[in-house]
Amino acid sequence: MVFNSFHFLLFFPIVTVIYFLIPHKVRWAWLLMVSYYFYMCWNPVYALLILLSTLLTYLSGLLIEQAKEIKKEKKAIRLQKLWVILSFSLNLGILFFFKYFNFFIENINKIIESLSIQLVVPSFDVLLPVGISFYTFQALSYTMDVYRGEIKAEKHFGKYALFVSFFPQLVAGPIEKSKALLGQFNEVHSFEYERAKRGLLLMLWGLFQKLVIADRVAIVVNTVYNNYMEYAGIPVIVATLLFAVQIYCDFSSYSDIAIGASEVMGFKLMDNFKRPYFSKSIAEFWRRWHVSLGSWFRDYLYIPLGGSRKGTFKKYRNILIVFLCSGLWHGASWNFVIWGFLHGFYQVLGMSLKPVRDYIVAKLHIKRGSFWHKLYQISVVFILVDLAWIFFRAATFSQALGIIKRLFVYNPWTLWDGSLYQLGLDPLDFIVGLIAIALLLSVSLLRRKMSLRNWLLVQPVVIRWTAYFTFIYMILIFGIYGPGYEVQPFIYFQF
Amino acid sequence: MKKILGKCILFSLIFIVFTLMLGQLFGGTKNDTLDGFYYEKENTMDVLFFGSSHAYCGMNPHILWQEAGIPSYNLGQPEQQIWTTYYYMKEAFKHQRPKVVFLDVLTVNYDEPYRPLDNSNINLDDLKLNFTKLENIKASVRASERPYFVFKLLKNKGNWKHLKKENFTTHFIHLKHPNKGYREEFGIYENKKPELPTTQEIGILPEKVEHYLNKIITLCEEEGIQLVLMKTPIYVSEEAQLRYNRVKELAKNRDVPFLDFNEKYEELGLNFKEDYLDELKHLNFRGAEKLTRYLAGYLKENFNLPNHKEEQAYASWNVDLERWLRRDEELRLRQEKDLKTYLERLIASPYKEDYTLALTLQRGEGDTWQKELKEQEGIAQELEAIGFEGFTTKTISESDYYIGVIHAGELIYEEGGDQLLSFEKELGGIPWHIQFLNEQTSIKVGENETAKNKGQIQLVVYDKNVERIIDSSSFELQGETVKR
Repeated sequence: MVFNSFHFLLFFPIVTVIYFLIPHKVRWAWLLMVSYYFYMCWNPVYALLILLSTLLTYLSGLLIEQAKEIKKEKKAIRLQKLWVILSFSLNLGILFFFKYFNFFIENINKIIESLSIQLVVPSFDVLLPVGISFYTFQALSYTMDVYRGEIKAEKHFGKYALFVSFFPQLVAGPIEKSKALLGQFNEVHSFEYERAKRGLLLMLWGLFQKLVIADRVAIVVNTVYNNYMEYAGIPVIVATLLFAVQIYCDFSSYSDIAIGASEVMGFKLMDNFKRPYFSKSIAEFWRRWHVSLGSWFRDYLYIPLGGSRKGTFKKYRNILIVFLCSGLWHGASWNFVIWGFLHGFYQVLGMSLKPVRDYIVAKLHIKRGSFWHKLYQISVVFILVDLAWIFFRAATFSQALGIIKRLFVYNPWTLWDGSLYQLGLDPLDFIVGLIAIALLLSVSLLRRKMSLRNWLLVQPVVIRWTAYFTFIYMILIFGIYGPGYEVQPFIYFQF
Repeated sequence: MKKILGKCILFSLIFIVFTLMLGQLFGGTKNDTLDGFYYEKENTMDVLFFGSSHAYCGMNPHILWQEAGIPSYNLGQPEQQIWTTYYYMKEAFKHQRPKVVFLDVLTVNYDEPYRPLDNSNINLDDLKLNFTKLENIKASVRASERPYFVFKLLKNKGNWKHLKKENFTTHFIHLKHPNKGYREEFGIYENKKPELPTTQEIGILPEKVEHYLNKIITLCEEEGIQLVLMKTPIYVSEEAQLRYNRVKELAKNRDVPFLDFNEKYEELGLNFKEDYLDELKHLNFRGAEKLTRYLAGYLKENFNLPNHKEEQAYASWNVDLERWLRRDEELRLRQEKDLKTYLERLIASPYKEDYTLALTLQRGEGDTWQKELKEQEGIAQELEAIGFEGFTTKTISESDYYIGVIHAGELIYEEGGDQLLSFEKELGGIPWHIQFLNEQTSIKVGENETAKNKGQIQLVVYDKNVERIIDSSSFELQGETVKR
């Protein structure tokens, strides 16, 4: 089931109303049932897979805690480590098989071929279970949290299963840590009107971003990127800029709807996007973009590898490893690996060049905190990120290179000769898109200093209801949906 | 808690109402026949027609009124499927209590599960939102698209780019349909009498089709309405004939009359060269007149329907009939190909006192045929009879330019010469401006301008009753006769 569907619009109110009507004792069961229903709407068979991962990590928690009881410390630690390794290898193994097996085989075949050996390893036709990258990581965080003693093992299998499969964030995050989410299922939630309104407003904002902005600009991006040989210069630049908008709106809208939906029911999920395009460095970008994934990698890969505590060389190495893995997490394709590598490389380069930058700033007497310098930094980061997005979006590596080449074709007149209206959006649609993006920008700027939802919720009722209706109708009228439009799946569903 | 519930309900109500209103505003072009049906006063119709485009092209309520004073409405819709028709009937019977209902059975051929979206839009969008419409949507539209038809806004929102005055005004009211749902078709396609399949074999109707056909029959029985199944005179394939044979059988079993007009060409007086719009599918206005006249006779013979012609309540129907007759005359005039018969019709027209006629000639290089018009069989007489007395005199016929204008039966201007003539005058409150340009003749009536190439005789007819040009044609010598 997707968030932007009539199905969900019917599903969510029913789930929520019943949630608040039934006694607290059975609420976990209700949520577990509907979460599995939500997941099985994609493909019933793969529910078995998520159940398997749930079982494996649940057991790992019990076993680790049991091992902690052992008196002999060395044996205790060895045994715990064993369970952790088993849990990780089995779950990552499942993830590997479903996601990376074909990629792996293709590359093996290429290597074998280049060695002139006549052998072809057969590949499987495996469908990628939706959300597997997300829930696997979420389940594994539990193993680590128990191992590190940050949380007690959950004995209640049902509640644990709910933690892994909780429907708002099951398919595309935020990836919650067990220490943050698991305990919430024991809390007694009562219906709070103000909180429900806050949650619904956030969901509405998410739908606006998805249907009015992301899916609209996607039309231009798809036209250019799916047929890039036909385009060069300004149209390619515009499409690339718009892709940065698309992927942000698409992804953060999903998180917003997830967070908002949870909020209505009284659950608190973590912020996943913190105005990432306002970042002044790539490192900062990764503290603001897909925060839950960055946090997972930091806690469960970067820090175990030593983080930044084992010297500069190891720090750079660790960063590269983490970002290569992050790239790979996104997809079984060299494009994603390169994208990840680019981000790692940006940071390493940035760090190594810091003395050079310091020198220049001192020599030119640049005021570091000034508005213009901040703007400069934000622009540089945005360009670097957007260039990397090309690898993310292009179908193959050579296509990505082809597109980059085409960025540098000189044709500024195309801004005036109507070429931009040949990309799938007519002038009126374009204007709506630009206005919506301007609205997004304003909201983002305001949110740095205040909570817009709180501000709106204290306005007089006429203003509030006018705002609600305006929003709803903007989505209904300008949204890209319905017969005649191609449904745009959330980009992160393929991960 | 109650307060919160109250607020939610109020919010939802406002949302639903506003969404429905916006759905109306954002709608595409309205289905004018359906809209016209809702305009009509309740319980005034004695006969209703249902079916496909063959129905809406084939039965003209004006003719039924003229022949028998029977008020009727034509609810045929393009490529309508029979289940959609069933719910149309249910809806119609809420507003009218007809005594007889005709169903064009071409609809049994549209048996695919769902029509294309455009077609569903036309058939469903302008029905009033009630349970019948919901059932109609359920039967006619695939599940994933049904919410879009219930809340039209979701489907039509793309029209935000094309909002016009109509969206804000006429979309919220019902407009009268000038022909009571009938769509007059003007074109002519010359057909030959077809060779139709003679098979008597009974075919099989798809389950859903037969199911709804039976439901229609039952519905009419329950409502006490006489159903008459009919097939307009069209070309049928072997496959279609098998289906119609089954329909005939079903009709017989359920005691419903079936009129197969493919068996009644002589009774209709059908002229295959004149009465069809296209290749043996749709009748044009002449064919429709013949078919409706037959139906009028059939109704008079078989049912005791009252003649409402003298009733005060139906006075507007007589006015509408007058308008139709004038329109019929106009269409026939526009179909005349020959200058001679064209002029004859003009002379004989009962409306000629309302006409303003302009005749112009701009002779082309080496054109001499206009000089010889006198020799053209009878044209000279017709021209004189209608009032263009000077056209065939020697001086004028030898000139390069001619303008003649007849207004309200009188020749008010006639001039021929070798210099560029022009005419400018207000006639009946409308400014006329005729002038000769380099290669063309321009005739401007009010805001409308027509231009024709030189070498032709141009005739423009303006009818003050309907306040527009009803015909603008050029005639030239083709072979032995002067034709369009």
